Amino acid sequence: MLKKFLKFGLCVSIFFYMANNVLCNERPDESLFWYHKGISAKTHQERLDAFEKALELYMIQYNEMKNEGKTNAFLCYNIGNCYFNLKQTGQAIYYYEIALKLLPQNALISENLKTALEKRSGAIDVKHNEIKEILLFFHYKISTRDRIRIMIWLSVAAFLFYLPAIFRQHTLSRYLSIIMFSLFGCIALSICAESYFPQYEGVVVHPAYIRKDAGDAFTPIVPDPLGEGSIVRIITPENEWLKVEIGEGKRGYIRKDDLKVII
Amino acid sequence: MNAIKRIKYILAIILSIAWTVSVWAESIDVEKLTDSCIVGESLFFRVTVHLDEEKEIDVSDVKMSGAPLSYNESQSSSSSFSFTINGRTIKQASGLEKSFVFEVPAEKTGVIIVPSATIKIGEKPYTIESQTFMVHEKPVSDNFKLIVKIANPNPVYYPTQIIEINCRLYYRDFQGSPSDLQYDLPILADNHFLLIPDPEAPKGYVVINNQKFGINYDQGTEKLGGKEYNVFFFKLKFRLMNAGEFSFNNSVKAQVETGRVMRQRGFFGTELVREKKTIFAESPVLNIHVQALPKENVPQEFNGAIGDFKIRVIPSSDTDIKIGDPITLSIEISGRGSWEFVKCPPVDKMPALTDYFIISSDPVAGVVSEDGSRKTFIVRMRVKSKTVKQIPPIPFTFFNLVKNEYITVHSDPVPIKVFDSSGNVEVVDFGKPPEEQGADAQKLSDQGDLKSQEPSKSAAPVQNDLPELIPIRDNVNGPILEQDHSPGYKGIFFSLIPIFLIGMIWIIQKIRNMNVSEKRLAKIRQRTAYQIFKNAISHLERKNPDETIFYRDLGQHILHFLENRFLVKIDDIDTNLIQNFIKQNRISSDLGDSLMAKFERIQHLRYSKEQFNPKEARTILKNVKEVLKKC
Repeated sequence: MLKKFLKFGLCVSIFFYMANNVLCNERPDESLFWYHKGISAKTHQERLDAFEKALELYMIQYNEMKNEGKTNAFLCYNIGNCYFNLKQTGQAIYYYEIALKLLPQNALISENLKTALEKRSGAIDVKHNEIKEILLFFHYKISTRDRIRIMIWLSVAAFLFYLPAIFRQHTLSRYLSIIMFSLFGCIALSICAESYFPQYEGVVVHPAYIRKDAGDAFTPIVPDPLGEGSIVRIITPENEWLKVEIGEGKRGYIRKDDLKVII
Repeated sequence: MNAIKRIKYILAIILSIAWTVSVWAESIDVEKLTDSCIVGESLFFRVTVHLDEEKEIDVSDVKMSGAPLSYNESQSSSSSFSFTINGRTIKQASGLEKSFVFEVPAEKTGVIIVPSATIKIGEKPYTIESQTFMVHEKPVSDNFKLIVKIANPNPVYYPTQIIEINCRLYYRDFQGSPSDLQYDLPILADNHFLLIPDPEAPKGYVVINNQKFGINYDQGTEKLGGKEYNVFFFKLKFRLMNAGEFSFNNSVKAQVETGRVMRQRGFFGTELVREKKTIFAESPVLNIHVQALPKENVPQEFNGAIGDFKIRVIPSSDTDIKIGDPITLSIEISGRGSWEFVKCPPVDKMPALTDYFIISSDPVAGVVSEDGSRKTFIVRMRVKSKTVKQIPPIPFTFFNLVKNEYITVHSDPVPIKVFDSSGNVEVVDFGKPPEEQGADAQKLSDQGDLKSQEPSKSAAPVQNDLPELIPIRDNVNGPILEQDHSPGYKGIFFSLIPIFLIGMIWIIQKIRNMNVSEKRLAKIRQRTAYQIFKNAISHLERKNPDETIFYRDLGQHILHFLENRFLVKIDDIDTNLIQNFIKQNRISSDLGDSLMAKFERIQHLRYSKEQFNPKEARTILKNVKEVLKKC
């Protein structure tokens, strides 16, 4: 009996092992293959070719998803990595920032972004109001997608607490329902604010002068060109020359081609 | 009678067809835009062609002295519509109108006749009548003169130099000042001369070359040929952009008052107006000779700068670098001259630099400082080898107008420290393949141009030594890349459903609690109490109920029903209680009596020694339910 049981157990284990190998052992995709090839390249040209090939494949996937109205934070992260290894720090920071906007608490993205930010030269970043960011943490630290999910759960919870409150006159349920509803309102306000009063930021992808007015003839507001990878706040987003705010609250104009807007 | 009617109908049809044809048919209108002009100017007339559909129009037959007249064509349509069939958009326009404005040059005085001509619309020819115009002599006068000349005449000018043109208009013995001044200064339309705008705000405007032009004018009196004239003058500054021989005929036309008064028919009848006449003045020919730069001994680095300049190279980034790291240089050109002609020194083509540095071949746009004293170019380069000790002097060549020769100035060398990276050497090219870089470096090492360079080591390791990549976390793979992290705003609608339900329930509750009558309240209480009673007696309605507790429980539940129904505390049901309810009109007397009878019967059966009769018990239960339902 025991032998039979052991044989049966062994067969089942082998079956599951093989099924696992067939179904779950994912072949690394082509883009990752090229990326790793770039890392292990022996010559400069080989490295460039490999990273550029990986980048091209990632960009194709990124654009396909974009056409379907989708975005993936890890895809942006991978693109950022390719740019970083191609020494295009500005572009890398831009894609890391997008990825971090989609998944704000992701350690993987934060770590690489931090490394990229450290490697910049001549960069000036716009300053953020940290107190505001701490107080409105749900607005700044939680992604829009997660906020919408939280909104759904809060609304369901508010509804469930409301039922005993209204039909059984249950006081605790009533308070809980009010709390849930208030939290729902806060997050709804946050999403509305983000949609109707967006605060765009941009990443400088080529070193560029910040000028007093929109035109090459105007004097730069800072003597040196703003370094690649600098993060600026955009004040007027629709013109050929963007009005931006850089560090220390200085405002000036930058050519649109030198900047990528984080959306 | 019928015959007359028939004729009427036929006439109506003919008339309607004629009207349609007249509306839709092609037609040509000719209109003179100017009747007369002075010699040297142009006369204009317009031919308007009305079409019912797009057709080819041939106006090549409109000629003057055997040569076709030049014309401007324009098109307009009064109404149009478009529709799409099988993906093809078809546009239709009704009332299509094409205009041809012909220009007739008035080269001599007298009558000019443009002969009648044939215009072809499709295949159909139409004839337009001949047009007659009058060309007057130039109404020159000794009292009206224009002198346009160079303010700072030099025997020779070179490109980039600035010349100042003085325009002086002299007039005398007129009633008031000349009005409607129209200058013809062809130098303004010449691309070889770049107008330098006046930094001061314009005092007034005049018409130059048919365009409104802001100028800083001045007025006064001056003697010319022994006569005193009023003078109106202004200056224009130009930068000479190209070499060549240039000559310009400048003229001015104005309206002056003759001093006579004439009658004119106006809106309010005949009016007395001052007579005006056109007057014309032509300046002596303005000749400018711009000499080309010498073609002998032109240095290789010369790229167009003319003036007197100095060059300085300032590193904008750290000069202690690793191989392959970028270094940013600000190349500052300072001095006097036209900044439009000052371009970045061709650093990407200088072997002294390209052999040791990789330099982007992208064009570098310079920035002129606010005070206009210098122009700065930002250049990025990457060092190829650790043996490089300095950025060599960068030459800048310009043509000096004073010395009349090409001069090359050099920047000071910029010392740099190049560290070897821990692993392989990284050199990121801006465009050249690595093999070429290696070849360049090898070539340089053979020449041994740069003193700071160690020729034997300069080129060798560039290609194969790669620096280590900056360690970052690895890429992500798998199905996680197919997840959608976009905001997903559709979720908001799902979150709003429970909120909507809460709102609905709240509104319903509010409405229900609003103005509830006593009767309705009693009905609600009755329904609630009966429902509670019904639920409570469910165990008594079974097939074999517990006979020991049947009547006791039934009695108790009736009591609870009355408590819930009338919101009173009841210890026991008795006749007085029921009478009170009847007195208070809470229940009818029949119902009260019936309820009392039922309750007494239940009490009786509870305490009697009779055998429990399930059938009777069920009947009693049924009767009680009926009574309570009406209660």
